[in-house]
Amino acid sequence: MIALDTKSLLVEVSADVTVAELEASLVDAHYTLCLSGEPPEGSVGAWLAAGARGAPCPWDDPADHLVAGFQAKHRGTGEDLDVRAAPRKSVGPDLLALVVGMRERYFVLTRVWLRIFPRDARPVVTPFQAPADGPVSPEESALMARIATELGVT
Amino acid sequence: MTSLLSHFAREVPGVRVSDSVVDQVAYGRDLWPRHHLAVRSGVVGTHRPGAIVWPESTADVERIVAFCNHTGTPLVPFGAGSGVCGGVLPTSEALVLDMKRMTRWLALDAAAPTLTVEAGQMGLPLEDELGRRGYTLGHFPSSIVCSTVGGWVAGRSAGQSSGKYGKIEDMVVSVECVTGRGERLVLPRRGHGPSLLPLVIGSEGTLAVITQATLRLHPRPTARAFAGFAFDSTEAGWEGMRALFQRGLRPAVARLYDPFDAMLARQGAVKAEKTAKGPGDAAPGMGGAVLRTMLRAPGALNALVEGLGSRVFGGALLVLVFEGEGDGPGEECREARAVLEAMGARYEGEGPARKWLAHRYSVSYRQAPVFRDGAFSDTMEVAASWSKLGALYDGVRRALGESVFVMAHFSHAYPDGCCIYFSFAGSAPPGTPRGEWDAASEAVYDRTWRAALGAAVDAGATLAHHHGVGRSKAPKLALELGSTGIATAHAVKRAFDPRGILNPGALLPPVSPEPYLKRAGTAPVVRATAGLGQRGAR
Repeated sequence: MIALDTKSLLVEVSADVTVAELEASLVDAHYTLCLSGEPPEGSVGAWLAAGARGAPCPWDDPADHLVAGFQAKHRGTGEDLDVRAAPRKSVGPDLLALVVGMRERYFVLTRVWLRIFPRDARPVVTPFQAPADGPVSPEESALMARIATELGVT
Repeated sequence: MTSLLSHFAREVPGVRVSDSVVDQVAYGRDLWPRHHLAVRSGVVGTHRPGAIVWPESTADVERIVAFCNHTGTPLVPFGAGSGVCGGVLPTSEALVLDMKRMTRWLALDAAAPTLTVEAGQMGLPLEDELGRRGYTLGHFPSSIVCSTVGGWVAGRSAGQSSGKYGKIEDMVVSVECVTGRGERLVLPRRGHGPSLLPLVIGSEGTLAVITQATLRLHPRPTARAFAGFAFDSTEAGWEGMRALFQRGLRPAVARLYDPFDAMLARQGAVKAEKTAKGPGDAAPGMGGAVLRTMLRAPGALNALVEGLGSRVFGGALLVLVFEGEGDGPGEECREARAVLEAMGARYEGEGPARKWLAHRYSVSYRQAPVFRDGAFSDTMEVAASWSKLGALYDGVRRALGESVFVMAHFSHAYPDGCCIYFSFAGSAPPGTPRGEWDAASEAVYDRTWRAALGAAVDAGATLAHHHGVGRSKAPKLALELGSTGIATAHAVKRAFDPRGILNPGALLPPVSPEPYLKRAGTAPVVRATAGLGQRGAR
């Protein structure tokens, strides 16, 4: 399923659609994900679970983001976690952190709302030397394990 | 508490602590307007903490949290107390942890550029000092004179220049924090890897005490361009904002006022400096009586204002401020003008935007005078995708308008959506005996909030864009997150703070008797995958 919300420049897409299929559909409609390079292999869900490499750098445009909302299945119970699409939120911890880059440790994406760009969009780039991604520290790793325990997905 | 205090002093020596009544009252609440009703009715200091402690280092925080974790003592992190959702409401058993003695700048990386600063740094001196050194954080909440870095991060704060610099979550490179277990953590933002940082940002002191933050900086702007535009309708105005942001323009400030709010903004009425002339000036007078009378018929008042609409008030007003270096802001402003005029906007010159900038902090930290006049006021900031904005605007206005007078402005726009900031004022219903004003006002206040939050959720919006949840929205949080979302948030809470000592009662609704998701032995219903790409095959 691929559904465009052109007014909001969002696409709602099933997580099992491949990134290449999604990008091709968007291009047909004169939009794009604005990826750097060719679309990565695999599904949208797997791409996000692995950290969304190739997506626009989050530091380039502070007023923008990649994922506006999502639905994911809890790995243990199969229950749906719904986080509605919104440009920004202030309703507690951002549960997207349990999904993007987490390699399906806690939840498995089923549906997602992604930002799209008109094909002739002018990129917004503000200069910043973002630090390189460092390794996960032992303390972070221990906390991730405790979250898994509390979610019942160990 | 005396025994707890002596126990604390013995176990955590060298940390400044107070259980004076003055401090207990001062730290017993934040700026939740519901508190103002209680104070006006003479109910003061009902949520006094047992004591207040002032750490001076992360090591102090670690010791304090470890003590609380060991003894099961509730601990309420405190920045500057400017929250408006009841995020601070301690009990007599609790310690309040005031972070304002932790203000050191630890590293200024000019190459990135970034600043690592302790969490108790207040907003205005931070921005002033950055400006002297040629930088800006770009974060200008209207509470900047009474809020801290840690409070901004804990509450997912937004500043007036979010159009160019984003919200605080867009500025945080990493945080150092102390979890409820008393362990120090550094949580970085990773472009592609796993990051727990977004869990702590916005956690409202319930997961960890934020002790330091590394924040992205920008060059201090050396040029600004200003413009104001009138629109026949509020919807035409937000369509103009949408066009600008989706075109790639990034005004630092983009504020759209609906016709009544625009009339106030044009007159500067909401910005006027009204200082009390003497003791008698603080008493409700004729103006207050008129105000109360009007607010007791909110439906008629809303209908009157809506009927007068653009014809009388001059239409909706959009003020824009572009900033940067050289000719950039001027060029962006000219492009914005061309876009908006092509959509039917009327250029009103630089004046409205310049006036706004001159008074940008005039309204927030002072208690609204309507409380003095026997009424009440509050604000509600919700956000949605552009395609849902009309339903959100109409739905919440309708819900609020049944009980209170309502107006709105739109002050945080993005390519995919916008925040609507509703301001409302109300009073006790007609016929309420004078001695029952406050209790009746509180009932109206609570009913109004319930209706408005329900309407926001029904419209597909988020309940909060930048004020957070606290206690005012916690009962309705499940409407947005669902039972799985609430259970997940509780699970995260237990992982960070297993004894539940950090800011209990804020953010999360009370836990159900059995943890929802913690079902040992439940078989996974989703097949495990080994790595990237395997789920891609269809």
